[in-house]
Amino acid sequence: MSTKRICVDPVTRIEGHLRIDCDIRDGKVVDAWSSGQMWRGIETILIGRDPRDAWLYTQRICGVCTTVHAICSVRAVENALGLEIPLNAQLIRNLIMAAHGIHDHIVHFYQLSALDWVDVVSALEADPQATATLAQGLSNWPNNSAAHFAEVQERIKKFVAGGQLGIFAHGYWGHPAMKLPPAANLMAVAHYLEALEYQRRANRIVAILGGKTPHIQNLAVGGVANAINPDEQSALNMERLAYVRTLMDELGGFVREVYLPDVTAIAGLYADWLPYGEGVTDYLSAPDFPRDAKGTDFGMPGGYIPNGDINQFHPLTHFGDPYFERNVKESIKHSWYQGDWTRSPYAEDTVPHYTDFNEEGAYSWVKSPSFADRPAQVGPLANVLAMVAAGHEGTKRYLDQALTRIAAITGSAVPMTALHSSLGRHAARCVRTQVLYDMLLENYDALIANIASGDYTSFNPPVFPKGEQMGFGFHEAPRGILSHWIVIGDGKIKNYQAVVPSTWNAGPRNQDDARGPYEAALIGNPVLDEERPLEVLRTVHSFDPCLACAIHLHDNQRQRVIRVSSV
Amino acid sequence: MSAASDWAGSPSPSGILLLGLGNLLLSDEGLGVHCLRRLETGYRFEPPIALIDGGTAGVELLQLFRDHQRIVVIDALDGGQPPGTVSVIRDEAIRRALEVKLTLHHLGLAEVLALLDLLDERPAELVLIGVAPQRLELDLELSPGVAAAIPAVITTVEAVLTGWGVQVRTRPPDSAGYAECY
Repeated sequence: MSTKRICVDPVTRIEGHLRIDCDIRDGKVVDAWSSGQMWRGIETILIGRDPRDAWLYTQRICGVCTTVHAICSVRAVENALGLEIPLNAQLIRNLIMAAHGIHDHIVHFYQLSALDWVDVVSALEADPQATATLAQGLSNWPNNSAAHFAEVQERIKKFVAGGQLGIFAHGYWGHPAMKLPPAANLMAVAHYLEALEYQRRANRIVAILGGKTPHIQNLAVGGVANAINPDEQSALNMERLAYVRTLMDELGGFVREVYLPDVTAIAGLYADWLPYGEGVTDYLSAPDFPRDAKGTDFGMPGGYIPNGDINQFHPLTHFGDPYFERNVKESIKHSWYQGDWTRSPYAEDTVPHYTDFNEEGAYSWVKSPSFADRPAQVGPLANVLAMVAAGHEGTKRYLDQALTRIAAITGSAVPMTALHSSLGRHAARCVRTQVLYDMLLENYDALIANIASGDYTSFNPPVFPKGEQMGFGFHEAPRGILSHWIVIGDGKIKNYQAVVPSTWNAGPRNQDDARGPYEAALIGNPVLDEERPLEVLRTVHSFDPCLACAIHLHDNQRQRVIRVSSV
Repeated sequence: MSAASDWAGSPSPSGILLLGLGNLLLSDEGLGVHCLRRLETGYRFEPPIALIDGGTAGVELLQLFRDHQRIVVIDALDGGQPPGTVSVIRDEAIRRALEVKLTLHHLGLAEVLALLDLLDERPAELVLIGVAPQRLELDLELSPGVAAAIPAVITTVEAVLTGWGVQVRTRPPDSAGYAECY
């Protein structure tokens, strides 16, 4: 049978501009290319600036991951200076990271990827009572009532009858790969709407602690700018902390009673999809949620797992771990940059050199990172596997719950190896969210206890010596390990590179022509209808692509199609 | 302290929001944020309104839109007009215009409006003030043509807000207490 080429450009429901090309033969993907269509040049804007300000710029790289680039940047500078930060600062950053991560994972599952699996049009035919029976069998969430589902269904009917599918306009409704029963579709649509309510509680926690959102204002190289005083009106006081606690409680219900049951139910009902989407099984993640000032004891472990084998786990044990520093390289063999090199981020440059899309040569603005000279998959799955390998009790418990719930639907045991898949990435993201919620609780209690002990410090001033310092910071961001690399000379930035999660996953072939994680994960995917490649989106979306920072900054003029109608 | 600094999730009592969108790292792409900063530091609003630097945020804007009844958005708007051209689009026309990709933050704004439709919570009034960009290169500065349009944007904002019963007054430069950093 002949081979067909499909080109999805741009991939929708993601941030940034991603193009995916696939060769299809006998209804399956036989080869794939991932191409970032925007150029990122943040590094060039930072050179010569004050390292203390770098985070203000890096948090502008992307509208989704503002917080994570801010935190990673101050960590990089602190690492270069050998600067410890006060425990309060660590805990406040941890709370922001946990709340942001939960927010991001909920929005990804419901708003950005659920519609790959959930058919909104089919939900209109569901019986609300049957939906309630299904949902109540999965959890005790109070809104899982027939009356609530009927109300949601009416609202969607009215919306669709208005002639505009609006936010649902680009879904593949009625696609033969959509297999959920109408009741499951209605349940998921109802929770899609509720997710909009609950994600904002997570966001509000970030806003209260960070001063503002979407761009937090409380960071500083050396700690945080939050003044802590239990009795003072304008400081981070007990009243504000109590409000954070209320928001946490509300958020917890959704994380435990809606998100986990939904993901596992959808995975169970799509069990035939569990074999698809494996791809690269070398996994990399960062330990995070430091419990001490130095960054040597972490609430969530991370590290490197080659060959999908958790027995070969190599943990990253502290900020500045040289095992990470010496193994990360980036190649530009297949990227639109001047030259052909594979280098440590400290020694990189970023000189654009655009040619056309050439699958044998250069075809992406994304560089190709490698760990120990091989591509690595990053993201919640990598993190969950590392935490299991490290014997993290909470992760093991939530993962066991998730696999048991999936098995209850499929009727047979689901092994851990099923996680090496597109659905596995969704399940792992949900498991990680449960652990993040534990982090929220743990760090909240730790902060209250530390303040109660009389420690109000939140900032250690940095000192920039003459000469050159190098350092890197890592952070386990929602999409996976993020690292910022900095070279400082006489107090100014000499070089700066951000190696971001979507670069790891969306990268093109590397120096040895090995496929990147998106490319590899697509091989073997079924495609029932080349005109409507829903299955390709399922696998790409399962990584939670966020190309805005993988390859900022702007569309090639050739690609930019912006027109205005008369108004 | 400006009204914007007080926003940690609570709406302004007037129900009016002034939102600047854009990427500050991309020259004219960030003009919405540049205009917002100018308004934030140089003007006083009575009754107080919320001034928010939305950057390139998307879904995060949803709550802001739900919390306010009357909203002005300032953003780069590429319609083929000469750089610096200021245009004003209101309410339903914004939705129509977004269908053909309008502001450079099409994705965020269009999605937020679509979600508001779904939730049946569209703001009572929505005004988009767009400025045609000249340069979208990696740069922290606005192009001269677009920088020169800022006074016109401010006049437009004043006109819209006056129509909503807000008095806009200049603030003495020394009272702002704000150094324009990057």
